[in-house]
Amino acid sequence: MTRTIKVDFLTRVEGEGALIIRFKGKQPSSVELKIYEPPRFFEAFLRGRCAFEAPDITARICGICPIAYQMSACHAIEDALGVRVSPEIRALRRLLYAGEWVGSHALHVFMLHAPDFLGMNDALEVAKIHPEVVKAGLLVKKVGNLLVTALGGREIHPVNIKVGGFYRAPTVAEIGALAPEIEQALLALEGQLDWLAALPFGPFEREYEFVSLRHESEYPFCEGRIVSSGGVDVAIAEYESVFEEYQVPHSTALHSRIRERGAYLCGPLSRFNLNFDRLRPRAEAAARRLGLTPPVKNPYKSILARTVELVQVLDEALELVDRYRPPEPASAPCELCAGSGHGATEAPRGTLYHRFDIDENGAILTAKIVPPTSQNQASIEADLFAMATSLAELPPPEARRSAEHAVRNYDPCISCSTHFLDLRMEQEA
Amino acid sequence: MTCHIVGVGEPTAGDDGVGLAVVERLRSLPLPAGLDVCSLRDPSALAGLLTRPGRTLVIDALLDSERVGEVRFLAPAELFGESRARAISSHGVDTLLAIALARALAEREPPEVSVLTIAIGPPTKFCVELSGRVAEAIEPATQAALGWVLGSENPQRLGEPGG
Repeated sequence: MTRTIKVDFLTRVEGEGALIIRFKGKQPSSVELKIYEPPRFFEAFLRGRCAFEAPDITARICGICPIAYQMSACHAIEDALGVRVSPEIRALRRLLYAGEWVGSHALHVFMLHAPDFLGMNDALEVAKIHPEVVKAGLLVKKVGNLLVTALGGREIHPVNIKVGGFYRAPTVAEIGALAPEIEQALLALEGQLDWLAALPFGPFEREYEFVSLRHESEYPFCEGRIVSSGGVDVAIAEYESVFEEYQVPHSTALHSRIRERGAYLCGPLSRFNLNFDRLRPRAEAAARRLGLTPPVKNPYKSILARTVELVQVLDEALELVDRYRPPEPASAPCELCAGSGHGATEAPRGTLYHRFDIDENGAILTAKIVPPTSQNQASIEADLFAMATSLAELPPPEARRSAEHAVRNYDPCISCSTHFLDLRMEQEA
Repeated sequence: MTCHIVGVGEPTAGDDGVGLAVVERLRSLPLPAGLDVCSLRDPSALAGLLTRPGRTLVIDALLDSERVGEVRFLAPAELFGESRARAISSHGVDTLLAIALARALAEREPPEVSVLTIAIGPPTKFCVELSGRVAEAIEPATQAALGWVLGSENPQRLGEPGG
């Protein structure tokens, strides 16, 4: 017997894909998250290009988190060339990165994920019942766009970022003008914490190995060591000695695992669990108001972890704006030379790793890029495997909706690696 | 009455940038007083822009491979009906959803908004050039936008297929 539930495409997820759950008797035997977006060969066509082009080329991998790609690429190239940036440039990068997190998280929390918890199809339905929630979401999202535009030159695919820093440093007046907007967004967000805390999350939990960057004193954006709840604690340059990518027959996107151990989870829930003690007081207060204390093992509560991170980065953005001094020069001097460099930063969806090998003329010999959605694919499949029996008991439309909800816990950006979802549940003979 | 024209698109996704190209063409012309023209890459930001007083014309690409280059205003049913026309989307919030959100969230009168579209085929690669028939649509789209500002264009009439 074959049971088939078919959906043309999954909304509110970036990319194209499908999900097949197979059963033997009443027990699930396999789950395949099939990614059929064609591979885009970024790693291949970076070869031979000047290392200084890497940030702008890799930014094109994703329209939602281009800054993550720019930052990871800049850090890796700077590592290879021995470039160190000034504290002022570092601060400006954190402010820029905050803008991307704010835009991405606000969109996902209020427009893409919240409707799932209410059994609604989209943000428009939420707006008709809870207009103040969607208004707050739009206000916060707007601040993300403002930050990226002010620092990056435009809101999507910013053009002001280069290896070593920025082409132009914004003026104090330009940055200062952002403060009232950030404060207003922060207050609007905090006004929705009780509403978010009351969403129905259900009892589902799973044991994950959480992985993220950990900085010696700050909530992680751009630097630190790669750590896990299972004891991993390595420098970014050692990433490939611990993590490996592998091909699965059912997907064009590579999966990733901890060597000799298996699937792991990166993203907001991991960052929150591994860096709770690095939260700013205002973000920690938000977490407590949301009832969120580590370890959080319910993936549906990722919406709350994203909300805490929104408070975190908006609050830090306020401080960075207040202390802003334009870096002079706007970028550190960089000279091309042979070398290898590693960079890992925390994209909104999780750790984004880059490695580049460069020849003596500054041309890229090899490029390795490991996006967060690829790293989380095995974990998505494991979540769905654990839910499969209960999914099979639901009427097809509800099963599809529940599966989509589970996938959206990850805010997967499938076009980075990998639009979803054609769901099939098959009974094996 | 204040008028706003907002061009929406992604200039590096080929024909998806046509809304921005029309706005650039408008900026090169002597424009009537009280007309505000701006460009937007992220459609979700449109909901905020539509809280401004005055009427707004949004110019965007519309996926319609069979009528590439056609310039037309969307009819109300296409804008606000259950089967909204399919615009280019970024991560789930497209131009028409942003407009619908602005209407749903309006505290007083819903925003007066029209949408002028230029039909394109699906973008398939990164490039900044418009294809021939879409590039040829810039001028008629510009004239349609100016007609809207002056009140001489009737969106309902232009909204009919082939209009």
